[in-house]
Amino acid sequence: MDKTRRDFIRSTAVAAVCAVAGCSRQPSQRAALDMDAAGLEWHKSVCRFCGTGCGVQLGIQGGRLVALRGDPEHPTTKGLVCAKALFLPKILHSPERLKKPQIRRNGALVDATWEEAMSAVAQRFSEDIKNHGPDSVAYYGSGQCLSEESYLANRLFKGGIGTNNVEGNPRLCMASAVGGYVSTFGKDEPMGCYDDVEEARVFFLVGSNTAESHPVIFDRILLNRQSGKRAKVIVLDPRKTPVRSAADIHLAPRPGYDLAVFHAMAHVIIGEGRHNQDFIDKHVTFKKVVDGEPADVSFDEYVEFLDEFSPEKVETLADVPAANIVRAARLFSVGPTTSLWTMGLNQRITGVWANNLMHNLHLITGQIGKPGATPFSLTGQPNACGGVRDTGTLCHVLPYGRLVAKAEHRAEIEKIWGAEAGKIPAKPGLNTIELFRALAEDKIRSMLILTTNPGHSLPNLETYRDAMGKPRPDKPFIVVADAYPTRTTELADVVLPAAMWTEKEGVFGMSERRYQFLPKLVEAVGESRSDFHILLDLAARLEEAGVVAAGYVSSKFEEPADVWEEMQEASRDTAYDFTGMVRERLKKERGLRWPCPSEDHPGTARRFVKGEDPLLDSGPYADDSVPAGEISFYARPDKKAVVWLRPMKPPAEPTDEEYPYVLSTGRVLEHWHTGTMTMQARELRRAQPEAFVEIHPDDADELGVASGDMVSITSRRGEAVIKARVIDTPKRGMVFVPFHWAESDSLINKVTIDAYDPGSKQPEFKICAVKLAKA
Amino acid sequence: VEIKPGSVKTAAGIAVLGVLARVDVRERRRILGALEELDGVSTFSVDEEERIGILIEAGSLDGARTTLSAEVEKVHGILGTWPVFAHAEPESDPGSDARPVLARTAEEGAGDGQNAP
Repeated sequence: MDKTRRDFIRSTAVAAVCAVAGCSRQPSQRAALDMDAAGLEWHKSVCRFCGTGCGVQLGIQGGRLVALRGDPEHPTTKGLVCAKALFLPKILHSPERLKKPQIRRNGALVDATWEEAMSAVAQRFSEDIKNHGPDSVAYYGSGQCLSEESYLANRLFKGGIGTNNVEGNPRLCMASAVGGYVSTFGKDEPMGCYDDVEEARVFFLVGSNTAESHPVIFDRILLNRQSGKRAKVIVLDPRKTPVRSAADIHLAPRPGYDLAVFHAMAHVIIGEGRHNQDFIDKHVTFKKVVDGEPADVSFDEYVEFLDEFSPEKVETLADVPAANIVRAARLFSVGPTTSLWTMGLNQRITGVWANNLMHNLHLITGQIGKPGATPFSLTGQPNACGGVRDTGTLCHVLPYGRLVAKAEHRAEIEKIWGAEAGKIPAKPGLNTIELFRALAEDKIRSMLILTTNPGHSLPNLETYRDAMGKPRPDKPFIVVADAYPTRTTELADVVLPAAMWTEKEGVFGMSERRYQFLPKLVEAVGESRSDFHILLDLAARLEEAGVVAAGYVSSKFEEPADVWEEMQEASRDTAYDFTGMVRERLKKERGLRWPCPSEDHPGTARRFVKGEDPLLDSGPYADDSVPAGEISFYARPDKKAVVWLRPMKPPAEPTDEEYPYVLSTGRVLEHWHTGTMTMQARELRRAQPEAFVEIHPDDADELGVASGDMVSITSRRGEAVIKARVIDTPKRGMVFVPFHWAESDSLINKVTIDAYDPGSKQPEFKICAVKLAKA
Repeated sequence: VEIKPGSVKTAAGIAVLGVLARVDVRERRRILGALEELDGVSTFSVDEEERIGILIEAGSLDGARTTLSAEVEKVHGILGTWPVFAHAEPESDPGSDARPVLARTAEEGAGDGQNAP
């Protein structure tokens, strides 16, 4: 390594940092950002990991991705990325990538040609559809597929094959947030944006380890706190996560009892006259469920309902000091308040209700629809929003806010898709848990799994691993497309090597409704193909077999751009309208936020606000009666959002004498989900090499456990054996285990529960009862 | 920007991390001093007092990452670190101890009957 080269790399690193920091100095280092001299070509793209959607610049040299840096020109992430992103080049070029298709023969996966693999897949799917009906097959996708891929899969299965057995892993992470937005505001997706993080004077972080799971957002919170609006931070979480470094108030309820805390805060806000009566009168209705149906109630009835949730009563119920509830409520009502939440709220049997109660606080205070005031659900995957939620790639929905159960919505989509009228069944398909239960009962005969790892990520895991892989006569046929070997590919009958991220082109849609284009910059490794081309191939073969109408897919699409045009059309005149996001524009811009109904529209920061949301100016939601700056919840029939009276409901599996501890699962900074990508980077793996269980010191004393001891964690469903980390971060009586590690003893989802929210169908990963013993 | 020579020990390779750190401004001077004491670590100012730039050099990205997590992030008063640039060429030991997921599970026996290699 010559000195000049080394100095050059150093200077470039300094320049990159300065660029991200927005430095006005270091012109020489700024100049070094032009790395063309080093033979690198830099391209803008988007990070592969979470839903923050960080803009990145990728350095390509000799057909390989060799460098990555944050994109300082990105409008919302402004050059910051987290540690995971920087190792994406190594992850992409990992020697462990799958490179050839594999077929299971005599119990073992062996290499095959694409023709052999796809022929086997198409033959089995066709036979099952012919012999057992369309509902005998299923698709299980991912918030990591590109939007065009998820849309195409949805289109093929619902409109081509004629089954609504279309699900994806966002059911495990975002479904309750969707349920909350839909039941409160009429349509899914946040109305606010990341700009609000800079404008807020109060943050309410609920069940969100923002510092580790969304570190770039957390930096913006710290920035605001230190030198911006000097915001205060309220944290509601039973675990002391790293966000506590920024917390002014930490409310640590018994796991599962945060609903009572929300109500108690509302009790204080209204009791002290801190609510916004004018906003309530104009924009809010109150409802509760009576005999299974929503029923209107009055504001006074809501106030009466809250009587059961005085801070003092909730202190007893939820183990949160009443004084802290009062302080939090007062702070929240001052605002502008931005609430951010993730799995702690969503992965619950009361996930939708908890989301509703979060929205309640914003609605009764009017902390919504203005800079810094918004309820904002953070997303865990890069394309759960744009790819799955928006395209309707779940069993009960259709693209862009349409519902399977509505005949007019099915007819609209059948027309756009060119499907036979009546092809989309009127009955929603099976949700994720029910889908895998049906697989266990051999009712689902064939399943296509794209870019996700249910053999690691499902709750009550052994049951569903057996469903996918346990040998038995006439076992269901499992097809998995992935970039790496996983705990799911090992169960598959056919494994298809998938191109990933920058090996293919498409669109990601992240948390703030921003759709961003990812260019193809390198060739896929080995024989890998994109999910898009795998789906095209499958569709053509199913057409040939006569189980999908001839030409339904094959005559319409050759490249992802073709699908994008149809997606734009499908969004026209919906609350998601992005007809202005033509492909060429997306390639130039660093993302656009919908609604964006014309090619000259800049995108929308805040939905539902007259003057910002273009859908209030023209189209089916236009309303001239709304004054500029005023809010209109136009996705609701009466244009009013709903404050729901939701009762307190305990977790599905409370602790008892036999299982006296609460298990909660989550993440660490260095790893992502089931670790299939981050474990490929030795640096990340070494930083967090093995699973651990956090145990409160008082509990550890009682158990005779010290840090480093192996601990058996047992529930009614299974056992994991994991190294103890004695630390006071979890509340006493609670243990915490990250779920990233794939070793059999570390698979904590063997222990978690598959009870799910009756509204969102999202499982309660966050709470189950366990017993602990030194192993 | 003054960048100290660093202490890259492997002549065969260089790895550089460029990191932004958010710091407690009251502790800024002490933090800068503590960081400069670390092997392979240089600091430089950016416009905001609340943030500092950090350059970490090592023989491999693994080494740079270890310096970041085991030393830099442990300095009291550092509120958070955001690595924004990584570059390595060539690495002396790229993934030599890689133990990918399937290899691990195969060693253990997948426990699902039909899929043992």
